[in-house]
Amino acid sequence: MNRERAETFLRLLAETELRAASEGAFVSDAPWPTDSPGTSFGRLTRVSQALTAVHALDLAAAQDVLADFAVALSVRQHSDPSPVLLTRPTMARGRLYARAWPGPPDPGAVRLGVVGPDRYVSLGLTVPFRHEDIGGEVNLLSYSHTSSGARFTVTWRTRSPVGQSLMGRGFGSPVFPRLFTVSDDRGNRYQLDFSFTDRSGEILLRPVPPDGLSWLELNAPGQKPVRIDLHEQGAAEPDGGGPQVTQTDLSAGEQMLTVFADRLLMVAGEHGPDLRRTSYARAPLHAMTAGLGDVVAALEAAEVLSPHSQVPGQVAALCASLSITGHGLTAPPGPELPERWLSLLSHYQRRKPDTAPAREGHAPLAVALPEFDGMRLALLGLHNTDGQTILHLLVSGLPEDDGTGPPLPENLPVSVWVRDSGGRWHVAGVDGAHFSDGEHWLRMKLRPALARSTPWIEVLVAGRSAEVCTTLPLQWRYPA
Amino acid sequence: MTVIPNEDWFACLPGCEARVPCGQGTHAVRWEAGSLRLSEHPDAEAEAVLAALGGEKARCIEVAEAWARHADDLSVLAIGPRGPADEITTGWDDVTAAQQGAAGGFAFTGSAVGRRMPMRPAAGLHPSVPAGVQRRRLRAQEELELVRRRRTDMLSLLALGYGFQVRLAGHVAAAHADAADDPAEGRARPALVAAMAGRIGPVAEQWLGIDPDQVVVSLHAGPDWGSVELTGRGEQRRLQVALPALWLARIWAAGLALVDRHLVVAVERAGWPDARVLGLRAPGAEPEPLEVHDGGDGAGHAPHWEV
Repeated sequence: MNRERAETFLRLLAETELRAASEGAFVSDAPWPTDSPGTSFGRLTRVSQALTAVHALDLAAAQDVLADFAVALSVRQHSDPSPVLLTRPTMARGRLYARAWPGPPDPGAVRLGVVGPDRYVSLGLTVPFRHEDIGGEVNLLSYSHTSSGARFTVTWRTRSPVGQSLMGRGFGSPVFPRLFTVSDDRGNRYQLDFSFTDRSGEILLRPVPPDGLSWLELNAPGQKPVRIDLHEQGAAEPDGGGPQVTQTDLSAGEQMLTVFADRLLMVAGEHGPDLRRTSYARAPLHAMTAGLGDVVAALEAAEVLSPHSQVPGQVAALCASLSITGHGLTAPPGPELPERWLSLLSHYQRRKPDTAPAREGHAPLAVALPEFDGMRLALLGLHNTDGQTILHLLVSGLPEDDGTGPPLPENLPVSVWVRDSGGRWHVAGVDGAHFSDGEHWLRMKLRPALARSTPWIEVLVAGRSAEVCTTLPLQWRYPA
Repeated sequence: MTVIPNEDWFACLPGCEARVPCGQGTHAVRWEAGSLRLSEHPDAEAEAVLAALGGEKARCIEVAEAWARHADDLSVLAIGPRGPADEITTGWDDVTAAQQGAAGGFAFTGSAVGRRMPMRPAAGLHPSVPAGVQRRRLRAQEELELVRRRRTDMLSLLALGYGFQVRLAGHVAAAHADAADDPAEGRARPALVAAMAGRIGPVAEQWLGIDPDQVVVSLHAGPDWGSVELTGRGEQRRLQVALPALWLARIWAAGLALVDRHLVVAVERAGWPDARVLGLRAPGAEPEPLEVHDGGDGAGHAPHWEV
């Protein structure tokens, strides 16, 4: 990594933009929107975001360059840069570029393949409840006990709108935490904190249970207590193997572009066949990819992306497949796209979209993946709700969002993909997250949604130093 | 050819003067031999102390303080003029408007872009706001206040006019020139490379008709003057320029960059209104000694050198 060249690139780009502005080439009436790639400032902002994301440039240095440019432009155009200066602290909160892991760390320090001491138990229990006029069920997908505490990953449903409102409140919902109680095999009783997004989330146990419990008992209103066996069961995989770890060696720039491509495919999935038919459908993709040529040049200048890397060419080919132009990539379209990208492109380009929404259902999961890139991930449940497939993950080792970088949904430095038993790939994108005691709880949406009949899936998590692949049987449960 | 300057970087620059609205009138602010002089504020230090105790600060004093704060500030190079044609017509009305805009302060909300509101101290935030959020908000407010003060400073310094703008750029370049020679210590190198590119690009365009985007600049370290080479053809044509960072101060700030169709790369004998410089007639050529003279109108703000 060459930090001096990274900063020099950004400053020279600012010089070019300022010269263009002085020569009248820049005629926009609104030079300031930082999100608009069509403005000088937008162009600089994108490059700044990319360089800070791969740690080739300090956030403060990037902000200084942008602020100086804003003032320089304003004194030449007699415009007020205050809107830009006021957003200064957020300039580097990227919307596009995942923050690369600072590593790959010292190879000697990598605990590749090590699974932590945490406890994960796949459950698959449905607990009905009834309170006054509210009735429904809570589906316990998994129990996990980690450094940040113990919790159930759950989905829920209720048949009454009042109940949906109460349950949907998430944190602090006043009714349900009091109605449900949990006790253990040692007579301890626990308070419950509900953290829900839509119809799934976590139920946190307080205080933290002791290690070595054999069972917990959940008491739901109007029902007999339900005994929850906490003995861990070995994952029964079709091939009988555990997670497979393959070492990789992606540069920070390659990783950033790969995760960016995942996001592009995620967004493209919102429009599917319309992508070919209407430019309107492609507009979000054009907005995402504008300035990508500058970004690749900046990454190469910073020596975090080899000029010989195939990834920029693959991204260019992906753009061409999605009929995206104006990205500025100069690399010729790559020789071969990854199989998973091709699978998704093939799905998107079908003339007839999926007409039947994914049917409701949930599948318990509790699988800890081997550590890589300083991160540990665990898969804690999968469900189809409202026509979408949601995968629940726990990630430890990520830095807390201190407000200076991209927020986590834009910041997960890994690719997460699922291949179904029919061989189709599904890309996963962060749909929600919360942080607790060093651990992030993620909801990841799969695109396209998974058919409920899928008997098993292969989950692929790819970072810079390794790819972890695990095959998981799915024991779907269906709503009553 | 070894060029070891032993004069001050500003030896080819005459003094210059600006009128600054101050109190009820306008006062002269003068730059002379590397120093800013406030002839109508003979005891500026005492005035500054009084102002710190609550008295009103004279604008001349504010300008002098801003000058001192930014005499080694690389932002000056990023904001200031790239050459005589890059006109920055900031006036004192702009400064006043910026000061009034900043007087009430801003409360950073993180989303209300451009919405002005009275600054509230962090202690005034609702107790339910987490301490971490309060700290971040306070830090953001402090940063914004700093940004706004810097902008007001910059506007004041730009309002002094082109002569002061290039002299201040010379101060900044000279302040970082030594460190820039050392790659290990050269945190200022990216800013200096960009500053050089932004200034030598238009000069090269005037000299050779080359597009400024085709000029590739690097900082030269060593006792000789550096190198200027033309490479490639067509779109691949590049003017590769390697000059020391001090070129910005000794030559560009003095208005010596292009004299009689020669790119001036070094000063052999500094002085004003007469000096001897080394100039290139063409890229790759050996530099020629040139006796030059400021044939301008004597105002001295922007010397007009002739052979």
